[in-house]
Amino acid sequence: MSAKHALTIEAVSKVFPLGRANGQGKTVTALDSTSFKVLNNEFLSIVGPSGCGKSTLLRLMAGLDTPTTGQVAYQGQAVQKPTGRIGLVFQDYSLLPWRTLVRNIKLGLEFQGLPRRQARDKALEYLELVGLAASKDAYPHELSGGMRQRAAIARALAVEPDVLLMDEPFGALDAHTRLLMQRELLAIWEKHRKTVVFVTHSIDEAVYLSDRIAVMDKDPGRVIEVLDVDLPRPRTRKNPDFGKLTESILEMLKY
Amino acid sequence: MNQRITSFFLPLVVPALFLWGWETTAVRVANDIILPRLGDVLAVLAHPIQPIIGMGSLLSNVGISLARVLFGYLAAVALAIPLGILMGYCAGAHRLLNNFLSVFRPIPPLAWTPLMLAWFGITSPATVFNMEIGPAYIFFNNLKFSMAFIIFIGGFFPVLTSSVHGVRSVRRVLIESSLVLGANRLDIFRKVILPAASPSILTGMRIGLGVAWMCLVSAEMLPGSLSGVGYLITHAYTVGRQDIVITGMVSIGVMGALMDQGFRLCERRMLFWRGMS
Repeated sequence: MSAKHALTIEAVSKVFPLGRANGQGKTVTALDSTSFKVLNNEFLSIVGPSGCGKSTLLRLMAGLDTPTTGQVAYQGQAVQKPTGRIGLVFQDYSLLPWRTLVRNIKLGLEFQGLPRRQARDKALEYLELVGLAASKDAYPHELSGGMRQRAAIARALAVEPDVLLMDEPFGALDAHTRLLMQRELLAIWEKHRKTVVFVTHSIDEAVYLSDRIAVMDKDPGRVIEVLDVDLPRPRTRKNPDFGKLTESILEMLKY
Repeated sequence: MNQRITSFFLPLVVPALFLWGWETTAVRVANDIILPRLGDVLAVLAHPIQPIIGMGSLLSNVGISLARVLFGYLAAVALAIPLGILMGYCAGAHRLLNNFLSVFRPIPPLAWTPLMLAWFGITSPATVFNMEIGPAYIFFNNLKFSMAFIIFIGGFFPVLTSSVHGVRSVRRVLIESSLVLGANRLDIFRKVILPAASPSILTGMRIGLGVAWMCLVSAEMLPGSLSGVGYLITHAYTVGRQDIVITGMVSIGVMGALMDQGFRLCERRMLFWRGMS
């Protein structure tokens, strides 16, 4: 069974202690007994309102946090700390500002101990993949938000993780750039077929990108439904089923 | 064109007014002890390798002061940076040392003088290592431990504070994004924390050097001092040569400003990315 399921989330909850200002000893439940499975090579999105624990869930999958109860397992093994097998693209700006793009992409390869030349060649290859080869010697501050996020994706892919987690990677981009990035991400995904878990606010974005969508609700944060998206690819928003699915998710969240 | 001329002359306006005001006041006062004339000071400055008031040349005194400041300052940097990084990186070290060091921080370096004299007297690397009498002995005997310690205290705390701050304010997302790329603790330290903290550390080093330089005069007033710009100033005062006092002040000011400028150049070249994230 572990061959089919990349990630298994089993009765996972996460409880945070509140700060002194909010009353000592009190806690907040970010995630309440959540279970679902991520299949190998699928594109799964997680949608839900702010504060439903989407990002918390993603951090647990990445091994940056540990669950209060339950277990996150990757290929049958409990995830306890980051290993490099599960990549994560952050929403905010996470490139090292003192490194050029190509050296930023090289970073993970340096951690892997790849020889210099090889690391550089591979970094260039991934810059090519996201269409940034021409900017290889630019510093992050010289680039637009969209370019930076493309570079962050290239950096995460370059270490060849089995699973790529993405935490609202396009959340800070303008609407136009966002649409372009969605298309590009799909093109990259179709080439590599990595397992992707994509957290987003935008139901439209989730329907456009995903094989399946996990819908979350808040108070307490939990997954209320996992839906299959049976729309042919490449998708178009003109397809009436696109609108219907979007509508039904909105209803599920009681908008 | 017009604008370029203006922007070239603008920084010179205040110094020119200042010098003019000095000279006219000095002429009116007509008392060398209260205010020597501009020309007298310039005359001393114009001959930096001529011996003055039996103390050797201005240049050699500046050189000795520079060596003293660097001696104390480099020791401060060598201790404060690793300690600051440790305290910034490791919460336990911070808890262990922060309160303790906070009590020492406000003590003016000069207040250490009596203790310094009691502990170190007039020892120097030359006396400790029993060096042979000769030029090397004379040079190293100028670097008294008591003076170096005063300068050390001056330089230590700015560097320490900024190192702690630099390490502590590294953005979490930089560390976490490296962790998910498979970094170990040493990788994170070398490739993320150290470069991210370097602007703050460099700023602390610049401030620390300024403070160390300011401690010079008090350090050179200690017994066993027979040279250096600080001593030159106090000695010139006792023999009533106010022009040499001012020459010493100008030398300290110019040297300090030059070193500060050097640091700024370094910062600009190395840390062009600062504030860009």
